[in-house]
Amino acid sequence: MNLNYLEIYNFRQFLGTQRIEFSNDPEKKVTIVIGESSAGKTTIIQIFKWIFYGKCNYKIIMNETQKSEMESGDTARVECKVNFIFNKIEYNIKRSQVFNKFSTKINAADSVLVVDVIVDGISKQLTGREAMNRVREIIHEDLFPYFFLEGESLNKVGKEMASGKSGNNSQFAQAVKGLLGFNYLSNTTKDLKTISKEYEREIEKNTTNTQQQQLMTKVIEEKESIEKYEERLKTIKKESEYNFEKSQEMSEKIVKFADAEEKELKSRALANELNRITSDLMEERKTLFSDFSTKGYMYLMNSLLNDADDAFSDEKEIDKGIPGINAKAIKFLLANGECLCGKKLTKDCPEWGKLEKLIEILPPKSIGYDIKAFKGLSFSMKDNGEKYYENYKKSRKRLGQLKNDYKNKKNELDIINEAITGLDEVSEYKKLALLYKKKYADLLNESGTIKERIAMAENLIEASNKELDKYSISNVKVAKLTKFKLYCDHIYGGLVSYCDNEENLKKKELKNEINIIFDKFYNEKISIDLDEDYNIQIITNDNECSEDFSSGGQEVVIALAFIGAIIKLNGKIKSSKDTKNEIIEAEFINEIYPLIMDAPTSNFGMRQMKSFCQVMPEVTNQIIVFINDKDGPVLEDNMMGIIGKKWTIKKLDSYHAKIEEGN
Amino acid sequence: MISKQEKNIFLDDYTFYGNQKDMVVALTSVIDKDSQSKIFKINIDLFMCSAIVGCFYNKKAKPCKGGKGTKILSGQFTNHSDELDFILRLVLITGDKDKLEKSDRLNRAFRHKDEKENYDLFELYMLGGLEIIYNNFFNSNSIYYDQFLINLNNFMEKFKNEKDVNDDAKINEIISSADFF
Repeated sequence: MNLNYLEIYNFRQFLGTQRIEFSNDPEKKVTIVIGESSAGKTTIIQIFKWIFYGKCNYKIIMNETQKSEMESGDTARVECKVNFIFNKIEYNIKRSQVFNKFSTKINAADSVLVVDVIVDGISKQLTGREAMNRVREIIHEDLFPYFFLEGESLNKVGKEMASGKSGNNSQFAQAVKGLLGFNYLSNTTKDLKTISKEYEREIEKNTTNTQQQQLMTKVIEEKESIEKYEERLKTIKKESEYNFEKSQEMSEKIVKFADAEEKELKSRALANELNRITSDLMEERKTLFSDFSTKGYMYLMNSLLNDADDAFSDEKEIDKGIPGINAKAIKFLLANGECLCGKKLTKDCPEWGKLEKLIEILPPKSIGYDIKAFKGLSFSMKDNGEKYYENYKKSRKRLGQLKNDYKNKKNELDIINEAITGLDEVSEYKKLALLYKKKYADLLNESGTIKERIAMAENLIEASNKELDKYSISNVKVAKLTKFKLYCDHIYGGLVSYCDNEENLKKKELKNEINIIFDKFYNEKISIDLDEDYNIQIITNDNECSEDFSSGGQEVVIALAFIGAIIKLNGKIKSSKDTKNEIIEAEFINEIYPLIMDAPTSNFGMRQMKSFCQVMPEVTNQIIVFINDKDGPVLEDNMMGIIGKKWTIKKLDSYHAKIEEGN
Repeated sequence: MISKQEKNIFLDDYTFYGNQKDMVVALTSVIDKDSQSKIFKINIDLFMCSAIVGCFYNKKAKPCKGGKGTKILSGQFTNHSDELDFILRLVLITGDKDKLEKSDRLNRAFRHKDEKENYDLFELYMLGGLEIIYNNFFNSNSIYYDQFLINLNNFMEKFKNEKDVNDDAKINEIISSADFF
């Protein structure tokens, strides 16, 4: 396939007619289209998609200015056309869509696809389903992303291939097989199987002998059973693989929690301990203040008690009583009117007043007793105050230790709890693991049973066929039909075997080609493997390279290597024509596809960029690269001499862009 | 027997009013929900402590009047009569040092304790001490338990002797190594 040109009319920012011509010079096979960010590079890839399949990533394909200027009753048209050579035939594929404005609403009519097939200057127009089918024959929609590589989708394609998602898409595998030339053979074998069945029915119809008919019916029934069994075996294979993987996955998860139960116990013990510490801590907090409330005053009065002691030093002066004499004795003297010395005491004599004063300071009015009692209490208060303060200090120390204990245990508990997060799910994992294992075992059993049944059915068919051979000899028509059927079966068997062998060989070749391209990007440090569904598996043996590989750009390389290898292999198939497989391969469409890439190098480093410029031109006849203005000069330097055409998309404003040849 | 000039405030209910009531309420309220800690469990504890603190700082305050008050019931005074009697005497012995001679202070403490002016003096010191205690515990940072604990410690420090100073340095080291809870 060689693209000649693309014509755009009113598609999004490309207002009016704009055209890009692609280089077809085998020596200068590269066309580069440079544009600043959001100029419209990706839009052009989308235009190809829209032309081929009527789909694109945009809801609105009209130009915004044109849309806003439309008045009620106006009609607008978007039309794009691609011209290319495919299988030596020139094609014009055009899609157009008409938009009508009624009142404020713009209605879009269905887009129309027209395919012009031009052979020897004579054009034949295909429309409708015929046109759609032809487009699909040329490039199947599932393969479009692999040849028209958008920047983001290039990553996506690579990721899908590496993750095995592509292989889940049977259409993808089918499309790859088609590109490798197996669809024709695959369809032929299916046809042969149908023909063989037809013969079988014919033989049954022409069989008159009842026993023979019964045998025929038996053979057909058994064959149908075998087909069903084989279908079931395929399903079982997939299901058992799934269940095995899942049971492994669950087992791995369970292993992660192997010591979780022990940790859970420790966690509980720690939580209990933490509760105890918290409780102690709270108690200590409360005690600290409640003790202060009830006993603190005894400590606080310490200084005052010392002051009081000081005051008591003059106690004797205060208590000026006469030893051994109490107030009662004085009162007696006053009542008798005579002192101990014999002097008469009268109320007007000075001695009377002195003795009256003595009553005040002699017992029981003496304060000595009270002071003694006070001192005793004071001593006790001091002692209690000191004890209180000792306890206060201990309490504060204990509080600090409890805080530290709390902090340490809390940290320990947090670490353990984090480690056992998800423990609740373990029992679920265990249940699931058992479930998957049981299902896997059941499927294996079923598979064994089915294989036995197939063997029995095959034996039965063989035995029946032998019996039928005897009958067929007597019936000429049946004998003839049987002969045809046997011949048909023989060819079918041969073809299936041939296809399997060829596909395996091609797969090996494909793998080699991918690895050759990979080597150029990663210097043999990374290789790939292909499974039966064409999924890519990455094998990295070099740690350093592994890091390099995972640093970005790898998905793009995977996608490019895969596509490059298919294109290269296709070229080989084409060049091997006219050899021993000429009859079969003559029908193949061994077309070398161009590569259309949008910003393929945006994630590349310098080394990958160089490898890209060196490798990709080797694998295909035509390369069209859309690149931003920053990477453009580097690409041009590296591809110097093989750039045939160069275009620039100039962004005029947010809604307009212009395509110009050259810089 | 108590004369007309005598008034024993410990025989009747005592009521704090106004600002002083607010201080009493704050100092006897829960300061930490987790542990239900209070600085003073009951008003009588604060009452006794305040008198000592007021006397220690020689700080007096007149009673506020009016509004709704908070009470110490006479029963509480009865329950703590021995301690109160002791504290009253201590206040009378050590208070007004700048005004009275030792002998006069001892005489009023032991011979004329129940005179009204002595109870008045006790009340003035008690209310002065209340203000000091309140101001010590309640400041702009007093939200968390640990801050109250720091305030308590600072308060105690002002009353401690030299031996206690050295011992406390070690404890503070332990306390500061633990994060706030």
